Amino acid sequence: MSIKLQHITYQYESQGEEPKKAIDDISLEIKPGEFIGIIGHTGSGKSTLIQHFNGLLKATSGSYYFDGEDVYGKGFSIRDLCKKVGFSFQYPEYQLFEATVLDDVCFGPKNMGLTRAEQEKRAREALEAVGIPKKYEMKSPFLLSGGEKRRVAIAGVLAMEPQYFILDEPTAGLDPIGRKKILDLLKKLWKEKGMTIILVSHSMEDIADYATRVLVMKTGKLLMDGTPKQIFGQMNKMQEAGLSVPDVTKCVHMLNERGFSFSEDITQIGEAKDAILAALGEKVLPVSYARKSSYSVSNLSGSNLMSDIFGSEL
Amino acid sequence: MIRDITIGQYYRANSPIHALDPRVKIAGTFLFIISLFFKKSLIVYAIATIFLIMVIRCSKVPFRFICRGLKAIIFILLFSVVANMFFTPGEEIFHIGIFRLTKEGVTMAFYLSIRLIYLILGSSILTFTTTPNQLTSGLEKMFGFLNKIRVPVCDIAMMMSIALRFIPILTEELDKIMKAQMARGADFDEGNLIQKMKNMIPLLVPLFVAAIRRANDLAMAMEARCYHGSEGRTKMKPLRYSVIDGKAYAILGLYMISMIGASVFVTKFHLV
Repeated sequence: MSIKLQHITYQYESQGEEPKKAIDDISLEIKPGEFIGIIGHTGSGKSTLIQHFNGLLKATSGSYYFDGEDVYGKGFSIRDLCKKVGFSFQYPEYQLFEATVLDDVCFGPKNMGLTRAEQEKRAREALEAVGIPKKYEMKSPFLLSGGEKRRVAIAGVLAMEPQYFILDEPTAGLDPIGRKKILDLLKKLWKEKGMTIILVSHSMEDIADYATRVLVMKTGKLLMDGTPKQIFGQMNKMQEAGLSVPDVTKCVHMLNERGFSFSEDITQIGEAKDAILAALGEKVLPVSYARKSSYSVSNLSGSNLMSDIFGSEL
Repeated sequence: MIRDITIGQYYRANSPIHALDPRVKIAGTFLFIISLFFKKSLIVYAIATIFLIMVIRCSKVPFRFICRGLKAIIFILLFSVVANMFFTPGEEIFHIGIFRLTKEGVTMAFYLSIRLIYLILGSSILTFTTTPNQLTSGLEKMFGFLNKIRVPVCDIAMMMSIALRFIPILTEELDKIMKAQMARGADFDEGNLIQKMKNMIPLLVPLFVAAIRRANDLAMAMEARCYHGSEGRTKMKPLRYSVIDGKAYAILGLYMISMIGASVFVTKFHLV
């Protein structure tokens, strides 16, 4: 039950120029149950790569095995692949077209050949999972807010009950609450339903907070493949690749330059807080207590930097 | 997938023809096409051929590119040639069953195909050497006199350039929408005609919405930059005739005179 790419290359003709390689000799394997983050500079081939996973694009060379079967072999149904590998493009709300929210979410199951009753059942489950209230079912999707439209679009893919769910920048253009809702939804699907999530994002923080494995793309090639700590711990290499690391990692580096010696692969704010408090000799408090108390650290040594950086987080 | 639509088949090159004012080229193409319908005679068409070859050479557009335009009409051409060759009454050369090949038929077919081919080649030169925006500018200037009878020429020209500008953008949008619906299991190849038309709805509705949304945004952006209609707007690159255009008009004039002259000459002296 895995996605296995071997030496995949995708070349395309460019008017009057040499054929360009959007992705160049990529081999990787994605096992079920992973939460993968794919990052890379603009034009690095991320979008091209993920479109191979569900068969929208066919590699110009190399092979692709899905669950052990040769996708490019005879008799393999690419349409069936669509059902098992769900895909959400950037700004997926632009694909909404039906007269009612329910009908639009039913579109996917309808294409799978399910009965209307089955379609509606799945659609309702999907809408509930994304947090769209029942009263919106008969509304026109065009009358919803941006964040709601996006969640309806995602429900449209979820209703097909895929094993893998690929999302290209699902949080683009959303406000912080909207972004958190989407990411928490993905985490829930991953943990509770065992869905394999593949997330393309430009936000290093989101990747660091949610992914278990990170793939770094650079000019069509797979540069790095590892856990978030392994990847973001190499700040210099990331910057060479035209990328960045989570802000908190940068902050830790800056602190290290000023004499501290924190671990360079800190990727989450919680970790940083614990490490800093430990270094300053304070007890590491349980999170809820620290939030409730108005804990002022401004009279500790070297502390102006602390409150500037962490403000009311502590 | 849909990315290979080239609009107007403009071929970028640095030639005297490319440098001409679009008005000269539009007028030239128009006159050339008219000249194709003068007297059917070898001498007349020889002049036309020489002129056409000179222009093609001058334009630096590779011949095989120009011939692409001919692909579209190859069937019509073949059909008319055959129909004319075998069904024109006249002096018979040979026959196979009901198909009578006549001398008149051959002549008809020959001139018919020449006219059609030259017509396509002539118009292709226009589109290969003039960008769609240049064409719009040229047409706008040429039809400017219609403003006097209240035809909003400037606004029509603005609409045309916006439309041309957005064709590649909307094509890309359509590509994205198609892929998104395919990722939800839509199939655009299956079914009979009615089924196929129904399958277009998941494509057309989002596309319309996208187009209208863009139009809305564009209108706001234009207003924010004080656009208030096309009256009285000046151009960044106004069309101005230069010496090369004068020369081109002169050559055109010479060509038309020789074509007319040759036609008269041939008619008067019953030449071929």
